[in-house]
Amino acid sequence: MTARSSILDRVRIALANREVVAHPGSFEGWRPFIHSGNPTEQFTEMFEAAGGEVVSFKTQVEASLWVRGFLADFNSLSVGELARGRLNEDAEPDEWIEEMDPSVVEAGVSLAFGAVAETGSLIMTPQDGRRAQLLPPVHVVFVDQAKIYETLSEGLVALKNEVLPGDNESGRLPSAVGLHSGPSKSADIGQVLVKGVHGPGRVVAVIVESAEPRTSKP
Amino acid sequence: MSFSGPKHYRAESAKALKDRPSVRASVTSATDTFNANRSEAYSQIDSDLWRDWARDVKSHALTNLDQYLEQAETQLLANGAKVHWAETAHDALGLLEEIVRDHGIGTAVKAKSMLSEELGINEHLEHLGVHVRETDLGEYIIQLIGEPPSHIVGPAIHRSLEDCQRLFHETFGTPLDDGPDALAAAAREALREEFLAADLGISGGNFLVAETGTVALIENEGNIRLSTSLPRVHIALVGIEKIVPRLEDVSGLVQLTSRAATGQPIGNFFSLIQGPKRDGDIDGPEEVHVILVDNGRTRLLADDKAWEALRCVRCGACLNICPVYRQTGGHPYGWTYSGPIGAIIAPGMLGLEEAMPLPYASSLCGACVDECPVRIPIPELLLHWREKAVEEGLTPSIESAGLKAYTKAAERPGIFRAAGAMLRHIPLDAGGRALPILSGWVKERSAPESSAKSFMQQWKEGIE
Ligand code: SF4
Repeated sequence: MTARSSILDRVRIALANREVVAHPGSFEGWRPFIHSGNPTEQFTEMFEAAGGEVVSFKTQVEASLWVRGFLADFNSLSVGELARGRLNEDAEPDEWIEEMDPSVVEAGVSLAFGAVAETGSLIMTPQDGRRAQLLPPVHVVFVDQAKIYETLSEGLVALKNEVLPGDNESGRLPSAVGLHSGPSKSADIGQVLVKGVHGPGRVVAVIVESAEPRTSKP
Repeated sequence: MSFSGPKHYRAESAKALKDRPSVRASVTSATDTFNANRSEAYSQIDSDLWRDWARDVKSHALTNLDQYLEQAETQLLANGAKVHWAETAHDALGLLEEIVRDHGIGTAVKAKSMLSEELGINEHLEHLGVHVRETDLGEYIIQLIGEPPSHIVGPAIHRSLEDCQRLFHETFGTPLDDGPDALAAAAREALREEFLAADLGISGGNFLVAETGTVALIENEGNIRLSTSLPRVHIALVGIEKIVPRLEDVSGLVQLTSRAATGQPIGNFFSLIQGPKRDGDIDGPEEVHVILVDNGRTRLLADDKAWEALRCVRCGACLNICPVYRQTGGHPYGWTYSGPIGAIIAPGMLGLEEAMPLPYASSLCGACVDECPVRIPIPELLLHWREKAVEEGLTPSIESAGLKAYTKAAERPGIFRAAGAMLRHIPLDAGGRALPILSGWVKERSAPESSAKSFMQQWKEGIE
């Protein structure tokens, strides 16, 4: 007998006379506590409370301009596959930022699939490259305001139903999803809070308010 | 270094109290923080509603466990992951060994996993010649020291800042007065090299979603994301009780678990892993193996009462609030899971005789049951195992008399408090039979406030 069948057999024997408990249905517990109805405000509040930073711009052009200025302070950068078009929005090719391997750079730029208001989370997908999301000490993330979901459940379902670049199937989640809800932190040394252990110690969410079509360069 | 089993609990806890007073100081301060954060986080939500919901989701999953395990397997396979089943620790180590051989693994990075402690993964990998590195900062500290974790959420909470300063001074040559930031930076640098070089990443799994074949992992440091993203092979060790039916369920459970564990709305990093790198992905592991582990869980599931303990989401709240745990930290319990949850799953997973005297490592104050996010009736289950111990002749008869009085009194709220106190004191007055740990602290200090009132509160809620 295989391990599989003997484990399943033992489970079935254990459950033979056990009353089946019904599923309680959808998780509605959050509803009384949700913010005044503005997901962007709630996302911002939650994300900042967890130690993240949030900036917001009317258009992608403004957002890109700000991020390129912000990044000028860093000596080396890496840019996620999906974020590249956003970062270079409206920029001339000679202004494009020089990219390096995420393991050696000071800052990384990504594009989030979306964000979640109730938990203050950015939803990161592997199409952008996980290394760029995790290795640099500073992480700058574009997110469209239209894709800030009220609840985690709504955000994950939307992600599941989306056809992502390079993945030709909708109805399934990407190979790996990371929710980033603030900087990397730990209190394992003498119970004192330290930021930037392993993952980025500084994370900046750049909200793009306008959903108008982008004039992006390739 | 591994544990020597629960049977030395009495001696070990006495020793901890006497010889290592700094442990008590560190554990008290850490658990005070956990408790304050959890209270605040619970107060922001309708925690009763959330916990009822979570209890039912987990009970639903457990009472349909066979179906959901099969569904999870089907989904994982469809996602391109490989699925293995391990009945025992021995089987799990065998599977690990096969993967290590097949892929020529030389180095491994590990994300914190209590199951991997339970199975003895590190020792076995070292035995196979694999260099294995714990990457959670707390786990890293205790790996360097050579001791097991003492708490399911904060593995090194028994260690003070001074302990860490000395350790890092010896390991990296950092100045003895370096603060936590400098020490963490030294660890980050050392561990970064290991992340980038590792062939294998090993993780546990907080939840396994049947609907989508998702291994879900909660953390704050980012080391789990790195361990599951950088190496070419990822192995997730998942206890069969971690199953939840739907993606939507995990959305609620991750929030409640985070609030119960650290008081956060959600851990700063939450990974949802479906399988290996796909064509459109930039990076990620080429292979993902999920090892579904029994190792005593079906035995616990078979117990008509104690199966409810399998709902546990390992948040550590019951440890943090437990006046007994708080005195000594987790090491004296002698196995991977300490505190109240450890005491109620040990008899089911290890066998009652093997688990003795853990069901007695409690004052039955009931503080834990007020905090548990999945409403595991911990004191009831402690009594359940004590009853069984009496039946099997594993305990002194004086305890049995006290137990009967207690059970009887429990039917009449008026004298319940007195009976609880009585049972609490019986072991103290029973001379040589007493648990020194209990007599030691009950005499000198009172229990945390919430513990004193919890049973009464429950009764009031029940009768009003
Ligand atoms: S028994 Fe409850 S309180 Fe204790 S660790 Fe498990 S879930 Fe948390």
